[in-house]
Amino acid sequence: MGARQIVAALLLLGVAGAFASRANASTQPQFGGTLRVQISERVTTIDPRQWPSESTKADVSERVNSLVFDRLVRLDDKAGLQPALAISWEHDAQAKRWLFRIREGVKFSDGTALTPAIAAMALQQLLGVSFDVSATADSVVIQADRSLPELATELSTGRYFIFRTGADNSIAGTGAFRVAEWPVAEGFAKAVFVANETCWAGRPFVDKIELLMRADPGAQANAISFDQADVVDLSAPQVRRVAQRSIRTASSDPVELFALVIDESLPTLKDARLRQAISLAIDRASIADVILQKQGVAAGGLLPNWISGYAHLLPPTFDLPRAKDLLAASRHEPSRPVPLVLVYDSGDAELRAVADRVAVNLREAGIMIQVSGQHSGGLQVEPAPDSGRLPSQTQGKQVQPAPAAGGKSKAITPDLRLLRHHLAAPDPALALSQLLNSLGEATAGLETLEQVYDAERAPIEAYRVIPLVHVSESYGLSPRVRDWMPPRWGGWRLDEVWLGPATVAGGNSQ
Amino acid sequence: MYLTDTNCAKYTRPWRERPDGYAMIFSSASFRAKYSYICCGGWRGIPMMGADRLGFSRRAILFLLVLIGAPSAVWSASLEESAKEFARKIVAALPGRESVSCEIRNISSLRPDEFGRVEQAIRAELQGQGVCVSATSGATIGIAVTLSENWKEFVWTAEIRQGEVSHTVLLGVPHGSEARPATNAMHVTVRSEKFWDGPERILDAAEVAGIGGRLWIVLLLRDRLLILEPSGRLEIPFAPDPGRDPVGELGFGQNTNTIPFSLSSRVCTADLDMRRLVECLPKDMSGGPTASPYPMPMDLTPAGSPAPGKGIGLVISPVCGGTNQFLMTSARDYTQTDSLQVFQTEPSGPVAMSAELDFPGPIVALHTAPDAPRAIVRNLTTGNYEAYRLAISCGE
Repeated sequence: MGARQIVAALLLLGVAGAFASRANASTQPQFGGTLRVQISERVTTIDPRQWPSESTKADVSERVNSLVFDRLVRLDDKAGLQPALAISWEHDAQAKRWLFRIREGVKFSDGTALTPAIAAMALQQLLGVSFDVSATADSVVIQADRSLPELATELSTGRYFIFRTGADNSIAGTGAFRVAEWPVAEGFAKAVFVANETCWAGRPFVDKIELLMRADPGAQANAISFDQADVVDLSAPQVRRVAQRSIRTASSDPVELFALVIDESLPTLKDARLRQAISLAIDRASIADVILQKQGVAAGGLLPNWISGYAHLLPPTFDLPRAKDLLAASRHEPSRPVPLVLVYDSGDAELRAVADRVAVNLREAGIMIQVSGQHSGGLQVEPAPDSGRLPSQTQGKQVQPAPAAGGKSKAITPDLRLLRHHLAAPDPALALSQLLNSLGEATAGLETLEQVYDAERAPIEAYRVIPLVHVSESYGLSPRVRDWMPPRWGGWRLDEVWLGPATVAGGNSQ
Repeated sequence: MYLTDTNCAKYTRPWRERPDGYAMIFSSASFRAKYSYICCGGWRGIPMMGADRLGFSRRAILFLLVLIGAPSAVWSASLEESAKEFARKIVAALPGRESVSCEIRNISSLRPDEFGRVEQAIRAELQGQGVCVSATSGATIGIAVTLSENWKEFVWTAEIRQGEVSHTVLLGVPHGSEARPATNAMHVTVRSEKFWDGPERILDAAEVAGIGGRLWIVLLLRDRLLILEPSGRLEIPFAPDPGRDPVGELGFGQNTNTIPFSLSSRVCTADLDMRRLVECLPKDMSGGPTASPYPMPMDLTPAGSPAPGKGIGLVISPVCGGTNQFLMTSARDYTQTDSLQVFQTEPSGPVAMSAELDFPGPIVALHTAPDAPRAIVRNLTTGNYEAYRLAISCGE
């Protein structure tokens, strides 16, 4: 055999090997199986009318509700609007009157046909009395008293799901799954969803989803290792450790903002130099790299750069000497008997770790600070009436004191509040307006990039809001999970997930 | 605004005359193009045998070189036009035009040569507008330009500083933008030729050369490929697209036996010889090239506001020496007939370049193709779906 023949033979072997591996790598989706999901949050209800006020809790509710319900429109992977229960939409010149044509042939999971009247009734309850939602023969008409040019985009996010309430007060949706079991007891937190065989968008691949809520965050990795779960949510510090155990992880782009919110109306914080000193004293890079194990990015702006594109204009600055100078110039008395109070949601371990680190930084600068973990409640702050946006679904929270030992609580007036906000949409204007609404800041006129930038800059330059880090949303996945393809801004698409044999080696994706 | 329940618009490169071969152009998110070249030995896109290809190689290379240059030139012109617009915005915000320094940096995915052209265009326009750009040390007004980007567009910023006072100018430049103003309106003709109709709800349809050069029609349905051969029909099933609305597009393989196609979240490949699905891979969410060895053409929708009363758009390769041309459907719903019309973006807005071409029902999808765009129509009279090949040419 000559050299040419040997080379030809080797080439043939190589080609054959390539085809063999191609055949083995065939990834034709399969139907069936039970997807086991564990999350550390607890969703108390899937009723969109009872929407959580906190953005992080609302984000979890949105994920769970999206299993059962559909909206009129949806966002595709490029954040473009796509038809869902509405096949087309239009509005008048002032964008005050919107018409959504309802898809025909859609049924709720209880067998009832979707009609414009049912859709209108659901939206009326979610949008509130400031909107007039009515139905025609084939459409839903939404009439607002102000211009809402981005109404369709806003209806594609948040709680604006179409639902039907039965005579027994049961609630049904048109989504890929229906609720088979829902935890009623406080201590039991397992929900079961089964495939909606008649879903208008096609039956999902898995037969059933078992959702265990309020799972122990520290045991999430073990749940994958011991084959007790297929999908678990991971806190930022866990991601690296989990990946080191060869467990497959998937992370979104940074979609959560950790920020300090300062009440400048308080006498102790009226001096802008003190607020600026607080901002300059915080080492954000250490929070991102050490506390959050490099799963966060130091933030100087409210929006991450992948959403805004101008984050370089708002760089994070750490300047301890300058912070001390400003502190000296201000009238802050480091030795005053009552320190500043920084509060955070006591149920959030990441917030606690970040709050402790912030306190260390502030003490290094000479600012006396007391950290207090407290339960969060839901203070509704209405946006300005001419803001051109829907009422916020995740509006500002008011920190309520946690019950002290013995059942009594002591009210504490916070000077600083550590906020964790989930950015619900990749659109800069929408993401910023929801965030500013939650802070009670003005959001009028966010139509141009300059307007968005100016609106973002205002609370930062006034040191009312001090951005700290942007953090990704992360999951641990079992080898059985296939087609895990959420949008880059996070969330679930469990109707697209299917289960394969547990033989694929782990890999990490971002 | 009015959007119909249809697939997205697609990028296309129509041919008035069938060439000896054609180049396939695939764009990434950063608008970098990839090219592949397929030789055709006869009508109906029948690929040539390997031996025949050698005889065409010189012409093919020349043809490819011409094609490679064309989109690059358009993109460069677009960038430079945006750079000039940005410079004019900067000038409008300048407190004075004397003693101005200007630093420009690039933190976006623009390539060094693209950055160089943008930088040159900004500086030239500043000077053209009477701004005296001087050395950094002696300037009283400083401009710091940063070419950045977010996930869907370039974001160019300019920080203008004079002492303690600063002002910021921003400009969003779409990744796929072709914002170059067009001035030469020509008469364009759109023709259609139906090549299939039937009761199946198709997402896309295409004519391909099958085994032995025979013509096959490939139909992409929500849950299967349907191949119509002269001797019968063949079905290759796959898992139904679980998206909320069926979206799909046929691609073009590297050889006659494989055909790639995309669904809402997957890019799949089918082997026509083996009569089976080869594989499905998830689409790259970052917008980059898919892991599939058979990349799909990237969709391009017209930049800016749609023409009044119009629906979905499809960027087309300009004809009649024009620029920024696109097809638009009517803004009607599924209960009405539809039409297609070519528009061109002018400084004053979209201008119609052709008469409306009517269809017997709503256009439910517009798809790109290397030789001619395709329209999928639901005939309101028959209830059937119909696939049309579109030809766009200059003049009558």
